[in-house]
Amino acid sequence: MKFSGVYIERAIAEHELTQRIIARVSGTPVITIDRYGEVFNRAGQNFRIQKRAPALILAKKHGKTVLPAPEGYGFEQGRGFYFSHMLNCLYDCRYCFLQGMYRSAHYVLFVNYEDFMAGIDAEALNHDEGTVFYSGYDCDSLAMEPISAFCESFIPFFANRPASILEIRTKSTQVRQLLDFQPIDNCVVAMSFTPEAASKRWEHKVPTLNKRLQAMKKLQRSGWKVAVRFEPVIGEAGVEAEYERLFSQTFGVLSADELHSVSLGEFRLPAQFHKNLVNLYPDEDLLARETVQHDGMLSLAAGGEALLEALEDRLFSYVDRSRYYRCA
Amino acid sequence: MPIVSESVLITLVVALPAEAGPLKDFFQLKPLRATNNVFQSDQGIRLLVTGVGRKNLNQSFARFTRSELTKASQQVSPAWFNIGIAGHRELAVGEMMVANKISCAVSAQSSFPTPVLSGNNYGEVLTVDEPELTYPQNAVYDMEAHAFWDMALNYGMLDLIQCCKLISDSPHDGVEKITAALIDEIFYAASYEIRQHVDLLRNLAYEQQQLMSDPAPYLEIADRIHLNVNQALQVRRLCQRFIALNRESELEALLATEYHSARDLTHILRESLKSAGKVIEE
Repeated sequence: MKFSGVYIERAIAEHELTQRIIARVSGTPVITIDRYGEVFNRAGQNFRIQKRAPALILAKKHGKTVLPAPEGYGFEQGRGFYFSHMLNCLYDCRYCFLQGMYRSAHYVLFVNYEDFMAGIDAEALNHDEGTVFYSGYDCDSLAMEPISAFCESFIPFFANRPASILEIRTKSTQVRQLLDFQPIDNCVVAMSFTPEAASKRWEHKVPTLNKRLQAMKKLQRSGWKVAVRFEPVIGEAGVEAEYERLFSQTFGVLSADELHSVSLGEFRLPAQFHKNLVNLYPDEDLLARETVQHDGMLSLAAGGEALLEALEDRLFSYVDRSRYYRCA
Repeated sequence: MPIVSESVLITLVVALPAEAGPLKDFFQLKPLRATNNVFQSDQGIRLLVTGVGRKNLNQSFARFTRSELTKASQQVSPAWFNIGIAGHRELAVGEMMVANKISCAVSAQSSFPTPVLSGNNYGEVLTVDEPELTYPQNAVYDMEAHAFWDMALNYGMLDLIQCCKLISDSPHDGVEKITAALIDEIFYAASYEIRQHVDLLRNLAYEQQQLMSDPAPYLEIADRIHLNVNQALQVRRLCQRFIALNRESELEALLATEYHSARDLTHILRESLKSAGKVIEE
């Protein structure tokens, strides 16, 4: 894993995780900063240029570390929350809302995991009905495991809190760390998939479909709960056949009966983010397609309810409905 | 393959005529009109010679921006690159250092160029008002970089504002030994790296200019009919969308049909894209 530089906030320079990361990236220029805002998301920065050679920023997360998850974000199992120990992702998916959310493509890693854990405990204490904590909203939780030690830190933490569920969203095949642990019942590893052609076209730097399926298979066989997220669904000619093939490939490798959950969700993002994406990639065909807008959210005109229903019909020939939810 | 560009893609900024000499040679830069401190090539490269120190740099920029940058938007380059001699307590004379932090000794403010350039040495450039003879910090000492950064921010793209320094003096080789011949020698020895940095920044600037440039069909329309600001933005994006969707021939056909106003045209283009957008399955 190579970074064009490592910026370190002075306040966490001596933090154990910071020291560990510095040792791992020896040879990379290290620059001390006061606050990560000095180098991240400054006016005039350009995501597309920075994505060519992103830097790693080690910072401290201040304020609230755990936030309520949007309605319909996950499988209903209790009150949903998300936490972002990292901003931005190793991959470069052309549809990703992060490109529209940040002007900077550098990776920000908040090393004060202890504060995230305190935030998780606080929310769990406040809700007797059970809680789900989603990781991977603003990043890919597994992709940078050798650097971030995310699983290494959070799996033992959740192992001691069986009433709270951790869902890790990812497109990564970095499952070695998870496989080194005994599986825990309250952790779900959720992998996102799009049909192979769509993945090749838009999911730059993402491991191949087959490699990801094999990684999930290893986890499933080892006893980890795995989930499948078929999103974002991008409506276009031939898409139903593409999904039929994807379902067949997926459930040919993974045991559908042992899956934690399966979901479908269409390509949608806030209108302002879409506008920012268009400015970055005016020549991108995906972003030139006809869109519809509802409550400030944009989705493709070639999609919508009819397409999702058609895909759901096909999906239910592989997976029991009780394991399914539609991602809002 | 050299980029031939009518517009300026990168502006190199140096303090001394002795630093400018080799650069004029590397990039075939010619004096710009009546100026004696601005040079330009037909490959999108411009050079500004400012004089030594923050004050001279600020004055040169002010004069330059008044006389040149107001003339046409294409004269404002996205990339700005400060290159020049500087001192360091450890690095040997002739070594190059890419700035990843630019600080001002007077104001104690720091800025952080995006790590776009790669090299053997990276570090902080500390801008001082008098030549530094004792090199107390582990930084490269110069006299313009921070002022350059502040000025360039007004015109360039933040990620394409860069700075690198060539070591001319150190505790073992004091500033009194710096001569025009030494500067010439240092610049020529670093010519490969300098060219690489300039080429990279120029290419990135070119890519950005291409992305921001108006599509050809839009320019034809704007020539033919009057568009107000809002219509211009809409028609421009509609043309971009046809091109991105690989439907240029359809756009040409639509533009060849009769339309009576900008509103008519916008409607025709939008409806055409809308009808195609609804097709999912054949």
